[in-house]
Amino acid sequence: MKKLSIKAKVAGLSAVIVVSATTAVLAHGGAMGIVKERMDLMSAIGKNMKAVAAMVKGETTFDAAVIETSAKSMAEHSTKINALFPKGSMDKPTEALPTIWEDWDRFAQLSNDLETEATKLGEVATTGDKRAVMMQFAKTGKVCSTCHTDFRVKKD
Amino acid sequence: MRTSSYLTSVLPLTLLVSSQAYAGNDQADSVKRGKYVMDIGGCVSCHTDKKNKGKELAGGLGLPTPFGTFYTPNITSDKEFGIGSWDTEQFIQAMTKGVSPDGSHYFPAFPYTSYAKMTRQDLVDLKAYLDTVPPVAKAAPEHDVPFPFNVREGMMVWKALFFDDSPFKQDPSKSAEWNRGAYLVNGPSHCVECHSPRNLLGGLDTENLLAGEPKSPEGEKIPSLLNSDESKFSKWSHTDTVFGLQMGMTPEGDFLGGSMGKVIANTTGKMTEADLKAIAAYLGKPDNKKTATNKPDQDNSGS
Repeated sequence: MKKLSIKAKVAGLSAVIVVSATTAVLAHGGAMGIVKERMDLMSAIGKNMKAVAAMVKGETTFDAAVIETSAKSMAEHSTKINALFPKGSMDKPTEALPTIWEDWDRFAQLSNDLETEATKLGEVATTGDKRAVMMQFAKTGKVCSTCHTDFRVKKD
Repeated sequence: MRTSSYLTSVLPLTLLVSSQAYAGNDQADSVKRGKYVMDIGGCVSCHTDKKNKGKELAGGLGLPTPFGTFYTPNITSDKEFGIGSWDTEQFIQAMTKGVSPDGSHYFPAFPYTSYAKMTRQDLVDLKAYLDTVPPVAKAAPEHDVPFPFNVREGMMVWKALFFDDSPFKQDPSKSAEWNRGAYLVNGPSHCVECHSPRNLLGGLDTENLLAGEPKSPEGEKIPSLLNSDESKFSKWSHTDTVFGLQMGMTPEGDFLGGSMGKVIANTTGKMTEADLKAIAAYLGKPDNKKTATNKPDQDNSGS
């Protein structure tokens, strides 16, 4: 397999960041302040998951380095989630449910779980064990789903 | 074939026994199959009040509807508060005719409108499994439904208008896989119940099945599942569909939540890969890899 130079990788990664920032702006039209900040953060996490998913689905070639970078980025993002949900921040077009603050401990626990699972995903990637990556990807996704099931309402 | 082997390896659910794999009439086998029937039917989603830490299948979850709030009943094996005293025929009558053992009519918040399509074998197995669920001696709250919708006799009229209790019919012009998908979507898994618009009296708009519902009672926009519609879902590939139902992930990297999150956790996430592929096939997402010439290089062409 051809190894990409560090330079090429950095260039590729920057392109991903630019693209994801642009998409976030389009998708979250009208959002301002902290609501916009957290929507952008969630989009960034989504892009990371998407990059790994493409490999899990067999759409792109398995690349441990990309998985590691994506996982690290997600773990980092997850530590910022709680601070972006101050009590009662429900300005439109938020999709947050008030249950977040009624059940804050569980919400905070899920942010924490995302950090734990994403960190593990990064670690598993370095072993190159594809099956283990699949299992860990599923575990990470389960945290996303659980939180979105209990604490988010999709409006469009 | 990279994709399918990945999906297989990821999913413990593939270890589950397919409900189609009838291995004799032994009671233990029936219970085992019945567990899977419960999963594909998603009984747990509505019959467990998870938010208030209710016991599994003990009911009590409030379902808001335009007609009032319905509370799901206890379906554990408790003989007084659950359905443990019912025999199999009474259970089948409840599931396929919407009539309780005492002869009263159920409100269609209980989707017997779809369960009527279930095979007798699946229903017998399901009852066998439910008989093994630990009893919970707890009554569910009374429905909070105002007049005139609280009059159960009114349900006879409603049923005459909107309830088609004919069994599921295979379409011989389609594949076995497509037919299995059709059975799941319209029968036990009852996708049509939420993904279709309803008329003012709460009957399914049968002309527009699976065309989505702009505003569900929970305030969600339920997407159309028709490929002919300009929906996000119409652009999902076969793999996207199987993956989305398995894990909840969308092609954009988002994870589905809300009521579909519950469906994924309790229903589709527990389905065998074969059943998920059947649903995808029925929804018009053929698995192109089956017909492709299987060169590894062409693996991406179908998804």
